[in-house]
Amino acid sequence: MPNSQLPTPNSQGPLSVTADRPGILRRCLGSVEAKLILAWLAVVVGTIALDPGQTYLNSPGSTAELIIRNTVFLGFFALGSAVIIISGGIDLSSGSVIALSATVFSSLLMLIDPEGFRAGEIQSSVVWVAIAGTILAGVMVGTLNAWLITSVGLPPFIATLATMVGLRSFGRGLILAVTGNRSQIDFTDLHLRDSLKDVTSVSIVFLIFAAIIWFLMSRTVIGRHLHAMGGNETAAKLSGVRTDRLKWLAYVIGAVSASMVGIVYFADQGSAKPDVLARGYELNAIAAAVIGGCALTGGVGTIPGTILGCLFLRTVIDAVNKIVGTGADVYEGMIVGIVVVLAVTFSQRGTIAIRRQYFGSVIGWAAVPVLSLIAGLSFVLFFREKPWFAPVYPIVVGLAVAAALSIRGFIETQRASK
Amino acid sequence: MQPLVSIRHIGKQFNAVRALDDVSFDVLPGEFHAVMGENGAGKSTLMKILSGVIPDYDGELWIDGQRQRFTSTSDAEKVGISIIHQELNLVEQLSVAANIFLGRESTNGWGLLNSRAMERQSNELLRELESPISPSALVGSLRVGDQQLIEIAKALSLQSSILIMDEPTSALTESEVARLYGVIEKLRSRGVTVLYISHKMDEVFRLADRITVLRDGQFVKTVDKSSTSPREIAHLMVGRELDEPVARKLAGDTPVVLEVDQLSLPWPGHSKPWRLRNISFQLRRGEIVGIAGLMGAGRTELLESLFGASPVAHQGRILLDGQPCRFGHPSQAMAAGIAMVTEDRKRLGLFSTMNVRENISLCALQSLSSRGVLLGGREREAAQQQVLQLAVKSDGIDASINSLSGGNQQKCIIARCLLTEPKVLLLDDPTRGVDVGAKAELYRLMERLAAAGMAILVTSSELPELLTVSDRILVLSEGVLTGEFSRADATEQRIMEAATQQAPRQTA
Repeated sequence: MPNSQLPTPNSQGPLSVTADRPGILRRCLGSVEAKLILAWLAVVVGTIALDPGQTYLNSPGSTAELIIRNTVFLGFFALGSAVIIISGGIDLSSGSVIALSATVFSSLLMLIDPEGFRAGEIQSSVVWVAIAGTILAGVMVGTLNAWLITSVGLPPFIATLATMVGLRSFGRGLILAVTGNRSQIDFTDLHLRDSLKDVTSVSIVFLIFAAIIWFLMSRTVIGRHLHAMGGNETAAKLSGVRTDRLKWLAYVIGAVSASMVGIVYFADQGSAKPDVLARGYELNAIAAAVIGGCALTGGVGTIPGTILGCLFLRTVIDAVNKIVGTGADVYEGMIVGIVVVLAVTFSQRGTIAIRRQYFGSVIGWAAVPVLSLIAGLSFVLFFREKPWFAPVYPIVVGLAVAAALSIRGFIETQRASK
Repeated sequence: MQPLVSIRHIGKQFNAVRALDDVSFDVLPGEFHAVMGENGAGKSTLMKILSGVIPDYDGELWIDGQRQRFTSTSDAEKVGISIIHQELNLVEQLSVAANIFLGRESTNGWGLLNSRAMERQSNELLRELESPISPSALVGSLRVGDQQLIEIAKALSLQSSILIMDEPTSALTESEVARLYGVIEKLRSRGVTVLYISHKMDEVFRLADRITVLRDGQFVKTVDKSSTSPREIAHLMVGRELDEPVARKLAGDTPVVLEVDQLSLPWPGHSKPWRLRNISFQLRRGEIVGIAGLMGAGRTELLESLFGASPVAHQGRILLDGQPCRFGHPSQAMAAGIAMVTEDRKRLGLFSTMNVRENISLCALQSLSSRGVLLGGREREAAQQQVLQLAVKSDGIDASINSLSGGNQQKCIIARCLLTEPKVLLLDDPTRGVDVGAKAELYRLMERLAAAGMAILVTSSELPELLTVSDRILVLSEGVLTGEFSRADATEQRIMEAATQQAPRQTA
């Protein structure tokens, strides 16, 4: 038994191990996960109410498939990012790793079996070799990131910024060399393409991957050590945790998850174009992890939360698509931005006991016209082609927002002066 | 005489800890008022409230007959209160002049920085303090004592009538202390009121007019220096007669567990080549050995080299149970049976994002798991047992570590070490920031562990503490072992002499 050399000072009865745990129900309801599920349900109900096409009710199957597909694609590398963020780092390179691995995968198919590739009938053994090669490339990228961070001593932001720009460019060069000066490789084997992007099988692979990562993070010594390192790296090292090796593991998980999804994106898009594929996706992954409760300061976050974060983010984007109509993908970035701000603001309110002055300070007042202008202009952008649209509406919306925020600011100022 | 500062019913809560509770006392104009109390008595918290660092508190503050409520340090500066913190508040990358005028820089007609004017004024201020520091020097390149003078110069430039100093001499050499006393005399002759926090009895009795004692966040008494004695103050601080150290049965001729032979630690990139030089000693089973020394003497560095945690490799031999060993990483030291409780609890010890259980079990996870998979029940049981054994006060083992008081957090970190079943326990200033009651518990715990056969090496910034717990005391001065005293021979006087002894000239 640990500590058997100590004489026990107080001879209490058998240890009541469970007595002091807070109520399970209360703990569950207070969690990020529960809040996200509630928020997600609200978005779904809201979409059903507002969607003029009523797609949720008319074609639930295809809607669900679309959302699941988008969630799972994002989920793969968001989980990788979550592991890195929980361990106290950041990975800006995952979008580029997706592009690079699509390049590597397609190049391997082409180089190993040129004739099968040209004919569109690739042998399955070749496919497996190419998958293994792509994942190996992921391991190597993760090792490169970890080496830059631990041995060279760069901050994770800088190290992965360098690999972010570097690897995408490297992928473009690779394509040029492999194809003889073309900028993309097209997927020729349509049968293989269909099976690689099949939502059911990709979802099953994702669930297995997520289960492994969840188990690793919450049930193993390594997972506990990753949390500890993210919470306080120096203390973890002084507690005997091998921080450098753990960082290697975290960045390899991040890069491997991105390289797996690179294969799927290659199939989904039908071509490997490293100059544009998955550009900026690393930020979506970080956003999903943050919405799911991961703190960028490290040590905090869960795998189920991150998956729910992906689901929530993709559902909101889908909802805006439905409500605004075609062409809404332009606003994806706006939505991600707004959701991140709101999610982190609300989760902060629970933990930090300061009463914030959102609009009651000088900068707060300066932000009121900015936000009102954004609200009014967004109204124009979203709804200008609707039959009921009239120029007076955005002005009303803008003024209403300005009034509401000003009242809020006024109340905050009053409260602070008391 | 109308008081200059009236503190009325001031209270402050930090999470579960009541740092200050209904404290009231007055400070008279022009006096030197010392505030004393053990660590955790609430002195620093009170001074932070007085200087606007902490804006939310209960109670009232009257300055010069006006009720004040500061929301920031600049509010306090406006009514003439400046504070010199224990941890200095300077931007090391900026020059002396830039630091003195930070936040209220002089500008010329174009709104551009007028560096020359700031440097000229800084020079005048520093000349007044009889210091040869150049106003254009980078603060980071100065010694701690000189940095402190910069803070004082800053307070002077603010024309402060009330100067708060929080343990200003704790990091200073003797000559720097003498210079500081001179500066304080000068300030007093200009009518500046000084509020002075200190642990050091001789210092307080030399400088103070009146002394206020706080204990566990509560006001105890304000006394005139002329009508009191150090003994009475100590009594007021602790709340009971100071226990004579309990005569513990000394370890005697138990086997040597740890032997350190000619240990040296290089100091790359520093004018002195060695951080530690030729240190040799033995540690026996069941023995508690204290390491005394001023700040920067190398106490922490010595423990870190034994624990494999120093950034540079040491020279010389370390023998554990007679076997030479060399640790490149703390995990190797822990595997060999050495555990360490680090000095700066918040920065180096605690995992604030984790709960009590996770904080306790962290180092022993290998034995609480099977093939790398955590055994939840075993972990809970082990944590629960430690919590009971060390009498940790918490809302259960799933409570956040942040909800515990400093002393109980420290017990959790010690529990973390004990779970690894170490032969040698290294404790680096374990009672820092721990309240009086928990301190006494920690002393008893150390004695219990030693009685059970553990060998303990402990450092402390408080000499009386080392005299209470140690069987033997080693004294470091500038990285060199300058004294070794048995419990019977050790007195504060002799230890201080050894600790301030000029180390023999270091050779490479």
